[in-house]
Amino acid sequence: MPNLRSKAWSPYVAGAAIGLLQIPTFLLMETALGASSSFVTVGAQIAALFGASVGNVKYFADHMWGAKNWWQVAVVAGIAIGAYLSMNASGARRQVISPVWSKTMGATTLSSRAPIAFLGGFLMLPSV
Amino acid sequence: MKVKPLLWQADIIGGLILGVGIALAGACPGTTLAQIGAGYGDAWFILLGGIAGALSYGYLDGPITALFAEQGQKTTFAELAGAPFWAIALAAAFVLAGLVAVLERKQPWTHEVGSDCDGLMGEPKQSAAA
Repeated sequence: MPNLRSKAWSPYVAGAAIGLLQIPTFLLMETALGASSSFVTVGAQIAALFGASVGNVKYFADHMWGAKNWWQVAVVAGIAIGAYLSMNASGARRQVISPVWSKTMGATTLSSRAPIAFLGGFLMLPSV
Repeated sequence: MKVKPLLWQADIIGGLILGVGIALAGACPGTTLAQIGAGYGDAWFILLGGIAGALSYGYLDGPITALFAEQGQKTTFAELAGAPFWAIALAAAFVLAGLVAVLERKQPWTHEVGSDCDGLMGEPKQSAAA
């Protein structure tokens, strides 16, 4: 039986739990669980802080304000906090980069992995 | 939930770019934050890249949309099949559950999480790859 001290849960249990979260999400926000548009919300707000006139671009203006956008920011912040708490509860420790990257791409240091990670994020996010 | 129009070119090209990004990042937008919380340093760079990508796309949204100039129809599988939504949803769930059952039989999830749940499938670390 999975508990909070497990290092990993069965993906079937975790998947069912996340699937059930769709119900309160639909009832409260009238949309499905999501994370990607939070990157637009945060990015546009940061650009605005630096004086960029993002409000003139409709795509940004549509994502910058209101509960419809900010609840996703809260979701992804909650994901990070939850992952941190879960790691502490299970006593697991992560290396700076996953050993998977040395096996698949020969990246053994953060400086060799970081550019690929950045590029991956850059290509992944215009998918809102 | 709003049904979005079907845009063949944009959907296929965008899907391919998304797939390349996810493979290089080793994460989707949501799991990026989970990796940060779990302590992976490279996930911060995925986050930075993602914010930069979202900003870049935002400025290019107008020109890109104009370039494709696609007029899509809003449609769903249920409408195409002429069946109620619940029937299509149940059928899809059965097919997907069957696929997962086959995959699970081939490779149980317990063999995939790795010895320290870091995805390194449990092989000896000094495997003679080179």
